[in-house]
Amino acid sequence: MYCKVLCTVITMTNETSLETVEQESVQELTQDGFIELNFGVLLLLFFNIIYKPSAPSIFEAWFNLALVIFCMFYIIFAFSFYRGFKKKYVYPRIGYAKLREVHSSKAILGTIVIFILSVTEEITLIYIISIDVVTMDWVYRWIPVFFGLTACTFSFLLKYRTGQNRYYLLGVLMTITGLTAALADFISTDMALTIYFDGWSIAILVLGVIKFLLFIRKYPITNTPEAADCEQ
Amino acid sequence: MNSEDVGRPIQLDKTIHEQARLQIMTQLYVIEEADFLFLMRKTGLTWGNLSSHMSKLEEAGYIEVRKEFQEKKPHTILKITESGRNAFQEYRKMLDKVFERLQE
Repeated sequence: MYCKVLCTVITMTNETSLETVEQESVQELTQDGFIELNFGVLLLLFFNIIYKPSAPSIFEAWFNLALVIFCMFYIIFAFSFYRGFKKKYVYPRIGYAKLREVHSSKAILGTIVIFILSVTEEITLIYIISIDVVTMDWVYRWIPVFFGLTACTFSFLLKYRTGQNRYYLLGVLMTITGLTAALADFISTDMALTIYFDGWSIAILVLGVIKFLLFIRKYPITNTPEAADCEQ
Repeated sequence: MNSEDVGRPIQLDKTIHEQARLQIMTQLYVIEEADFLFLMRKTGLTWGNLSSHMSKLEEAGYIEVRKEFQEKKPHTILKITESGRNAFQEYRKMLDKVFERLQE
C-alpha cells in the first residue's frame, strides 16, 4: 500500500509528469473538434475577405460586404456561441475544465521567434513590392506558402499544449501544398488560391464535424448525482 | 541539502499526502478550474469519494468550491487557491528532500 502511494506520488509530482497531466487534460478538451471548426471558418473568411476583394464586380461587392458583416459578427459573437454550444453538448459529456494560459518560457520563446520571423517576412515582402522586384500577382501566388508557414506556428502551439506530434502534420502539409500551389504554373493564380484555401477550409471543417460526431458517439451525456438529486 | 536539515524529520502535508487528494490537487494544479464530472473522469473517483475529499481540501483552504446552476441543474466547480498552489509546491519540495536523503 505504501509503495502504491509512493509510486503515485513520484509520478504525479514530477515536473515532466505534471506537464503530461496537463497535456492529457488538453487532449480531452480538444477532442470535440471545435478547434478544427474554428480554424476552418477563419481560413474560409481569411481567403474570401483578404483575397476576393481584389477582383470586384457588382455581385462580389455585395458578397464581400456580407462577408465583412459576417466576419464582424463572428469576431463579436463566436466566443459566446462556442461557449453556449460547449455548455450544451460538451460539458455534460466530459465535464468542464478551464485551461491555464500558456506561460512557459519555452512556449513564450517559441512564439517570440515565430513572431519576429513573421514580421521580418512581411517587412521583406513590403520592401520587395515597393522596389518593383515583384508584382502583386507574385505575392498572391506565394500567399499559400506564407500561410503554410504561419500554420506551422499553430501546429507548434497545438503540439506543445497536447503533446501530440500529429499536429505538426498540419503545418507541414499546409506548407507543402502551399508550395505546390505557388509553383503550379499550369493553373491561374485565382485557381491555385481557390483550390488551396477553399480546399483546406473544407477539409478542416469536415475534420471538425467528424471529430465532433465521433465525440458525441463516444461520450454519452452523463447524469451526475447532483443533477439527478435535483430532478427528483 | 543543508547540513542543518540532515536528521530533521521531513513533514509532509498530510492533507495532500493521500492518493485521492493528491490526484485532485494535481489535476487542479495544472488546469485553472474544473467541475465534478471532469475530476471524476480524470481521477477515477466515485461521486461520494470525490465529494468527501473535496470537503477536506476545502476545509484546509486548498481549494475553492463554487456552486452554480446550469440549465436549472446544480453545477459544482472546483478551483485551487493560492494557498493550495503553494502547499502543493511545498509538498513537491519536501518530497524531493525525501528522495535526496534516500540517495545519500
